[in-house]
Amino acid sequence: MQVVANIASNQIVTTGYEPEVGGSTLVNGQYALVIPPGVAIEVDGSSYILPQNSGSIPVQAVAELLVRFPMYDHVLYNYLLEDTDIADIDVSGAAPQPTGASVTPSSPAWFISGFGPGPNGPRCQVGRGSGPPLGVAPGSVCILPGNTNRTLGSTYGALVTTTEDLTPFNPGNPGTDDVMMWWEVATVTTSEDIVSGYGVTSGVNEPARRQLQKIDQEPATLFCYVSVDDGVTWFQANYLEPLDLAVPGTDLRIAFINSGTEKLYLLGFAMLFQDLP
Amino acid sequence: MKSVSAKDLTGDVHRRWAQQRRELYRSLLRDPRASEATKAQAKKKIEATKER
Repeated sequence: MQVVANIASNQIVTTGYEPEVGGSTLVNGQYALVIPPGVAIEVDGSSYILPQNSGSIPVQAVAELLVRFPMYDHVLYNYLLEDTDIADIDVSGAAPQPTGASVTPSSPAWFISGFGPGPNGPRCQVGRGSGPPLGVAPGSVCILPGNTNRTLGSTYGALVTTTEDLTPFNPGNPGTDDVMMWWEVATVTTSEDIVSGYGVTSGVNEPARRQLQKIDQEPATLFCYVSVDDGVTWFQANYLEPLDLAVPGTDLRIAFINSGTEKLYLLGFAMLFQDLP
Repeated sequence: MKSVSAKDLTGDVHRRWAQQRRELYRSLLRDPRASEATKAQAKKKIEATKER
């Protein structure tokens, strides 16, 4: 299920089923809010996206994730809609990024292919995380493609979150070692604006069309990692699969790595986790 | 990041969550292969559905 909203007013334009893999959604001046699979929410004339309070669609969607997976106690989520959402992404040069030595399982495909972290921080495209909410365009956060043109070694595209302290969720026995990730990635194509009176395009009058392409959520070149020790060690998370982190921790970071050739648009992600026993 | 906790759920959403959780962990309690520690954890999880 997806909800399409106006990018300027955040008013809901339409709602319906998501397209199948390979299908597309026209998003000129709009953005898509994708509801996790298996989650059903009711959208009517009173539904809204912002502000993200208990009655909003994003909160309803992740609350239903808890109903769908009742073994989890909490869900952290980010639909990358507001400046405060963007502020949760660490774009500093000091942001910890997964390396071949810090990930489990070891020697992932991107490492074997010669990719490493960008030297100037995670290679991603984001809006503004503070100040006036200008430049925050929902549906525009990207994990850049791998860069194979550096003489000092190829770098993957990456998006890394800031540190989230899990202590307040269960102060008596803080931290977690049991998580599950959901995310939604897509590619975007934009066609040419054509007004022509000659040649093969004679008589054509077409606007540029920005289309969101539904892709498989686990492409071979996308990797999601979870760390609960502030980026010292990382565990690979598969899509909607429980992940045991072996050693509990409280300092959460999430990283997405793209070693492919296409820019991947991240439309949202959520992490369900359990309290320690 | 923004968050939602199970203890924050209210109304129909809480009812459905509690029902789902009880069904999940009651099956564990009935499982003869489950360890005592697992069953104790399952009981605790079921108890949490009553904490309102």
